[in-house]
Amino acid sequence: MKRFLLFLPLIIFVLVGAFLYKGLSMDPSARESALLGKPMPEFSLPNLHDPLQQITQENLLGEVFILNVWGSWCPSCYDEHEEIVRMAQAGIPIVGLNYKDERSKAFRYLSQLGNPYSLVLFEEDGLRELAFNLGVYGAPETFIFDRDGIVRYHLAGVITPQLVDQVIMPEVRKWQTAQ
Amino acid sequence: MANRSVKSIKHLTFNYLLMALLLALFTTSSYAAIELYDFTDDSYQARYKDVGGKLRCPKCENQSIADSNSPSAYDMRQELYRLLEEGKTDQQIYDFMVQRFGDYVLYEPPMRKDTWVLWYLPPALVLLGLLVAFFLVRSRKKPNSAVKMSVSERQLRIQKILELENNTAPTSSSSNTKES
Repeated sequence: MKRFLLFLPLIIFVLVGAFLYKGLSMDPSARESALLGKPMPEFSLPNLHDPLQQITQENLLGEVFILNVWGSWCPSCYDEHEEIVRMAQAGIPIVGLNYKDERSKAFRYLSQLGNPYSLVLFEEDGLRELAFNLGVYGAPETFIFDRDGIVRYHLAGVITPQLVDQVIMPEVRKWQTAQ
Repeated sequence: MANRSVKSIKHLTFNYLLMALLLALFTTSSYAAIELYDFTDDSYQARYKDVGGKLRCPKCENQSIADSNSPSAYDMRQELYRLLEEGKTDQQIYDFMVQRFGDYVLYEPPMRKDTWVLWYLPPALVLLGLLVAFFLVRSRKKPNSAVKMSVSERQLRIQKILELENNTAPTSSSSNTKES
């Protein structure tokens, strides 16, 4: 017993060390979205390409789709755009949410990089109509909605090729085949 | 004459404004952003500061929404103001934010089974430390008890020690004789 007590400080040190060492390699921004399993919030936003057309959640429901939050001011959005194009080419409907942006800059972005979106919602800077209620705190962010408009996946960060192949595409297919 | 007094009044107010502006430069406020909110109730202002300091900015891990300049913190402050003006309670405001951004936004996490470690580990460790200190101090006092032996007890102990020495002495002496 005395022997054991002698080693106790070392044991505690090793345990705390292991705990802190693990913390070093953890990503502090990685956390589960609070929106998973929740329905799409109600909203009404104009179409980027047709300012007079107001779009609500009703217009989007009925099929599995991806919602991608982007802005021309967001450097990582340029990085992931290629992957959005690839998913659109694979036949997945992708709705864009132009976030805290200006119309003219958004147009320039899309004309430079191509427009993979089936529809782009325009949420002007200062509006808190949809993105805020989805818990968006930056761009890019990406959601998968199922047929009933329930959030099934939420990524706060950049889409990588691996994420597309290993997570996003399988997830979309899964909800497309779900009854 | 009247014209002149109006002018001087204008001059005065300008001076006051300038002074107020200069004084404002010297205040140290934890609020990173300078935003003007017109609260309809005086108590809202204190609650705005209080709740804003307890909500964590989702974009920046170590800042409250009151301290952060990030656009998401700004949005949250705007919503906080709106909710206060709507007459929501603090708890309703926390719930509103948690619904969107998760428990992450709370600097004081809720008491639940999976957060017990967070709440109870630090006091438990303090208690453990106190216990260890207590036993260490107590064990250090023990040698003193030897002094408190009675005379007969001491005699008995000396006898025992002597007997032990007598028992070992022959073997050591025999080994000595063998060698010589």
